[in-house]
Amino acid sequence: MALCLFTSGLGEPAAPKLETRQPRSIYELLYSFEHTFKNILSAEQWNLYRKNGPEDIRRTDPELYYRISEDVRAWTDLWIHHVRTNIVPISEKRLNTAHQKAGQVDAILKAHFEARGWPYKTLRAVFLPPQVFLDERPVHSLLPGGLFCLGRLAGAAGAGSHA
Amino acid sequence: MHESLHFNSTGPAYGRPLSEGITEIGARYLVLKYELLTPYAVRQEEATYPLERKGVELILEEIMKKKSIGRDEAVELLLGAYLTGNQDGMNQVVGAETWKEVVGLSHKVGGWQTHRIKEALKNQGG
Repeated sequence: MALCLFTSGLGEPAAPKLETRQPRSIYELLYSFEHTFKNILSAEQWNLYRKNGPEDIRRTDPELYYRISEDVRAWTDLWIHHVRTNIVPISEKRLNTAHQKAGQVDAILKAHFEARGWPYKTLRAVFLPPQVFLDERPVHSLLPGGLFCLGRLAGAAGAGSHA
Repeated sequence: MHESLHFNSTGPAYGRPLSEGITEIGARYLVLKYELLTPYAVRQEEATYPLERKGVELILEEIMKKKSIGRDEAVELLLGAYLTGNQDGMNQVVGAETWKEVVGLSHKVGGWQTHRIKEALKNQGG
């Protein structure tokens, strides 16, 4: 079952006004994006969202891209807050190790990109407990390590295609 | 690493298999280059994007053959095209029409198959 999330409308923060059940897993969060957009977008916008990548949407309909990005970012932030405050947290030691590793990767990539003259943006890495990576669908079970980057979800539209 | 590369891609949109293949191969190259993981640990992840990587390996082979360069340099060239959006290097190596055709395959449903990619790369008149 997919949850319907509250839309931001025209770029307003998408904070829900009512107490709603939050998605139980990263996968349910993704289904919720799809489900909600299907209900709130026009048929034309929905087709654009469903059939195209973020860059295509940005080119074709910048306003829609902005709206989707804002909604996805707000829903994701809200969900992260829910997970952090309602689910048994990752141990501080493990979290520190993960942050150190993320910092190391960021520094390496930054230097690598700079050496080649490529523009570089730091990805916001968010570490969440393994429970939220349990996929209730058959076949899949757990993503490696239970750590997952939400940067693409928060930073771009069309997150439903995430592997 | 993989997600950071996606996040930093500013180029024209490649189709999903090409994007994922380049990103996964690029990420593997970088984690090995900077010794973030051991070769053994990387090999344990064989199940990640196998078909996507297989197609990209064909492109890398073509770059290596055409430019007489090593695999690492070929990965850098392809990764640079994906990240910056500047396709000049790829157009120069495999030909603009051929590269457009290969990118086009990545957008087509069922297009990202080795025989189709090989065929597209073979048609460059070289």
